[in-house]
Amino acid sequence: MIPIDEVISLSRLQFAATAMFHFLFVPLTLGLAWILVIMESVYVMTGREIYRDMTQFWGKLFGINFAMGITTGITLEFQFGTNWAYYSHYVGDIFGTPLALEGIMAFFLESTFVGLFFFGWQRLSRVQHLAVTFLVAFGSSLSALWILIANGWMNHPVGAEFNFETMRMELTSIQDVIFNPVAQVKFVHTVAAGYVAASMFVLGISSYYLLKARDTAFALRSFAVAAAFGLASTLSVIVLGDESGYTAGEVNKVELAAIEAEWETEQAPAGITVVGLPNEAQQRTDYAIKIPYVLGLIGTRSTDKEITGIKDLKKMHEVRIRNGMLAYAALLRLKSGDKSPEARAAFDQLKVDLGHGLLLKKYTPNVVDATSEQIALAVNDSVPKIWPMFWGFRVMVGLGLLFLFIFSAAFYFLIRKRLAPQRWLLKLALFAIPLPWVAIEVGWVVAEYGRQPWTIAGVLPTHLSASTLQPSSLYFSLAGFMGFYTLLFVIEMMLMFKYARKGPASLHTGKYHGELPHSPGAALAGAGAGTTAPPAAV
Amino acid sequence: MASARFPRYPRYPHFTRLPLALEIVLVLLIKIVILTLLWHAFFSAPQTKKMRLPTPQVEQHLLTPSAIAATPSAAAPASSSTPKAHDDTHR
Repeated sequence: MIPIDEVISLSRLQFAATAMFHFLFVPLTLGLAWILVIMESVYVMTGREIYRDMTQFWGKLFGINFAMGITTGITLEFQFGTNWAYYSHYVGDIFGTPLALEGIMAFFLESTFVGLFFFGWQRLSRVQHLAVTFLVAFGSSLSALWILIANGWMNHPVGAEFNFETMRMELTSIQDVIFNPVAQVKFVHTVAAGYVAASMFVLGISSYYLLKARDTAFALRSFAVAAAFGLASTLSVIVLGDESGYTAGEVNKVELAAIEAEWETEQAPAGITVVGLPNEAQQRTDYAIKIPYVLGLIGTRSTDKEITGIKDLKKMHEVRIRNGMLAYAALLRLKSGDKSPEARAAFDQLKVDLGHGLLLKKYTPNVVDATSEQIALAVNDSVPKIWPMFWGFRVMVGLGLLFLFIFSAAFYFLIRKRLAPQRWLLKLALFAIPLPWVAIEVGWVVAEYGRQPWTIAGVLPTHLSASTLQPSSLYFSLAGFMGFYTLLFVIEMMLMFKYARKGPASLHTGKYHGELPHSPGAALAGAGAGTTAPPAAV
Repeated sequence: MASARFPRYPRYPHFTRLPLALEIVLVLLIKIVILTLLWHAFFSAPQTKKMRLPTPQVEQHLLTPSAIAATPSAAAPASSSTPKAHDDTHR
């Protein structure tokens, strides 16, 4: 017999690895495009050449990232039909529209305008070029929207119903799918996180130039744009993360309870666990440090509503699994040929719990005759492991607070014109460049792992979503993907390091560090035509 | 003289000596080749056509015993007890 568990684990690993590699490129594209819009807008408004140089230099780094990142997401679509055939069948009617729109946005709008951005400087007027840059940024964010609509639907499958004739979910309302509250919150939270990543990227590289006292005017202006945009974006991420917590409290109580290791249903308003050691065996959190009321306020926006604990959620899941067994029996009746109005009505009444009944398929072929032990096993499966959720969330939030500190300090010292003496801050900003990617990847793991055991929450369990494949095929394709993405990542790093170290001199305008006659004194004074203020003034 | 213009860079090797635009074109070509090879090797025969499977295949997977996971507990004999839905649904 085919070792199904191994196939499912490998398929999950392959999808997770490719999605996470793909998402190394995406945040910088999302955020840097808007930073280019800001820089070019200032150029159009003031006519000062340095802002054009800024747009062109950071645009060059944007171009490298865009070229490396483009088509890295297509491998995910390869996997839908091959590795996840049953999932694909289930979602096909819903995902068709958003994925097609994403393709149109990415390949036509985004790529066309990226081409115009690079080759249009001499052919377009200033305002026309700014419009192109704006459309690059808009197109990038819009293509992310469609992907996150699809992802949001997996967490909160609205606007669709199960059709027993076709054995799949079918679209009933595209508006409900597009305006799904989970998708909307995910979209704004994710793109804002991309803005933070790009801001840290610009802030860190600008800090490097300031630490080296080179291209000071160029670096200071870049630093200022990154500090302001980064501060606004970090505050947005925090506010939208709070909104995400509220949405989870409304529609995905399991994820919220798992993130907080909330074993028991506390009296309202629940306190938030800042830190502790979740003990899954004993179903308690050891050494928990709590802040009263906060979780209740985040999760319910009230002081009198409870946050349901994991133990009570499991009791609810048991009820749903038992109802799911009845739904499964009703489906078998329909499939056996009895399509009488009574049979249809019986299934319609119970079908909302069919997915929970399917959780039992992992333990018994005869779902309708499942034993109490098998039901207990399925109930245990209905909640993800707590520690990855608990710690993953805290790493993400901790890093978010660090970014808030860095951008706030950068903004404060910049407007007080006391940035130059703060070498600790410049070094911190430089070494913090990779951290937004860590926060984003961890956040993605929390969001996706938090949906387990489902690929479509409450509808299709993960163990029934994967295709029947040979593990060897998955091992080889996984190795192929890892080699491919590692190669791209290495090339991206080499090109980024090369051009970041060259700085604006890579534009060959003859004005920047390394282009002037070599003079140590000039470098120390921040020499270069782009330099308008000596380091001491900042 | 390149080393005089950028004296600190030699620690970081160049990807190529080509201009950036050519480097990017080269990378894009390599990407297309690798993706095409991966697709041909592993993904050119998807089980779904236009994100759809034959309904009987899905029925067999979801509703019949033959596609059940080989987990240790799956081998446990199923009881003949009929489940009863609880009335106190908390949904």
